[in-house]
Amino acid sequence: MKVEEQKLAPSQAPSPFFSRAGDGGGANGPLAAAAGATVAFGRLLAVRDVSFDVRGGDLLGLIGPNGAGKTTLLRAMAGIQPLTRGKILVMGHDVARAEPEALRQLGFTPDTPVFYDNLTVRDFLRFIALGYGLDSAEADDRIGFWLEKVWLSEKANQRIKALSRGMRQRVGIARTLLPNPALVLLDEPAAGLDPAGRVQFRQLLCDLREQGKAIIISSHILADMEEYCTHIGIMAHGQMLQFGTVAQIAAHGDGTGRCRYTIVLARPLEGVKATLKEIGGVHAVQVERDRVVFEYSSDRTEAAALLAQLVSRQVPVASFVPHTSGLEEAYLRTGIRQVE
Amino acid sequence: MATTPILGPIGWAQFRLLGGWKNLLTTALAAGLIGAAAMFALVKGVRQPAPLTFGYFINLFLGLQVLVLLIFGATRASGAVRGDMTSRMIESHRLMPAPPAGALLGYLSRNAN
Repeated sequence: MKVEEQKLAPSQAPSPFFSRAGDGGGANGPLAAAAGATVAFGRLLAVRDVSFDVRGGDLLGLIGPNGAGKTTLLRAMAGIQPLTRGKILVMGHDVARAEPEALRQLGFTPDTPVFYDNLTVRDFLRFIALGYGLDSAEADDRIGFWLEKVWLSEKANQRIKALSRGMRQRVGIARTLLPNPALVLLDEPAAGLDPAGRVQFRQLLCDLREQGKAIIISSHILADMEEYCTHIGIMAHGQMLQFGTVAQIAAHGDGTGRCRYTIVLARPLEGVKATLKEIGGVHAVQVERDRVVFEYSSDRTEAAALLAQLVSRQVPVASFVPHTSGLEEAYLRTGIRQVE
Repeated sequence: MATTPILGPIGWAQFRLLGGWKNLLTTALAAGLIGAAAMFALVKGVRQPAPLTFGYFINLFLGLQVLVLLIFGATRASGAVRGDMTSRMIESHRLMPAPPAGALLGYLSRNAN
């Protein structure tokens, strides 16, 4: 698997507010499962018959173009969006019934978290703690812990309306994690974060994963997803086109044994597209000035033979790069190329 | 958070949004002073026995209470619910494992604030 095993630094050692998921339930079964989940808005099927499950320690990344159904699926997992068909279980509880046992185990951060803007950060988190039945002392301890985790300790007594977008995003993350849920749903959580915030957020996700929580995250930042996710789901038109571990998705892709290549020419060359098309096995040739992208066998020997042929045909190849085993590559192989 | 057991989380949030204890005490003090001044002026100004004048005040305050609870209070509570629905804050409430009745009481408690 692509996921690097990261050990907790001493300062990030487990705390009572950051405890292992599944304590008191779940055992070895899935923490969350979707079975035939379908959401329709009138005639539009926003989510179509999606089924999967996640276990403790799984970090599932949902990727896909805008309108693919990622947000709707996450909202349905949180129980906010009613399902038209199918079922979603969190630790064995149907989220549609809004059972307190299920609600206690799930946390959801929408892409634009909402707050009572006139409350201070601390008061807002206190309100959330009260909603989850935490007593005053425990609430204060947890709030202090999570504000430190998301670098907002200094802003604790500032009104939320005075915070920047990135800071609001961090408050949203603290709000989600405050009740210590076993299932964490995050919709575009890194969108408003600065580079340092993103690095810190990646570490936080790895820590949560290490704690055995199940995390489902949607994001367009594929490089980040490849780094910290254990599983990937590629969505389009409401369907889960591919689902598997990062390694499965990136390495096997569509199973055709092909990959994309980029050639940079020493100088633009007319007729290079025709030259490439004459060679058997070359497909999907795209030429942009001195850069040529095409699909060919991922076999190294065949790639070397292709390069030799190009050189023998007087194509001035300055560089020849195969794109293999990348999440971005796997995503592009699905044929999803533009925002829909 | 002493107000929590009475108001519930949503009521507590509404209480804080309206200024908390500081605002409540200031408003109560101001209303008390205005009421006392009005009573004092009327008792002194009207030529009839003071107990009779005070009797009128009982009816006046009851009327005011009804007005505040039924009209002003209901408007404030519905405004708070509408605001939370518009801002989608209501979705955050739905994620909490709190009983719906508690949420209802929380919004209604905005009257008391």
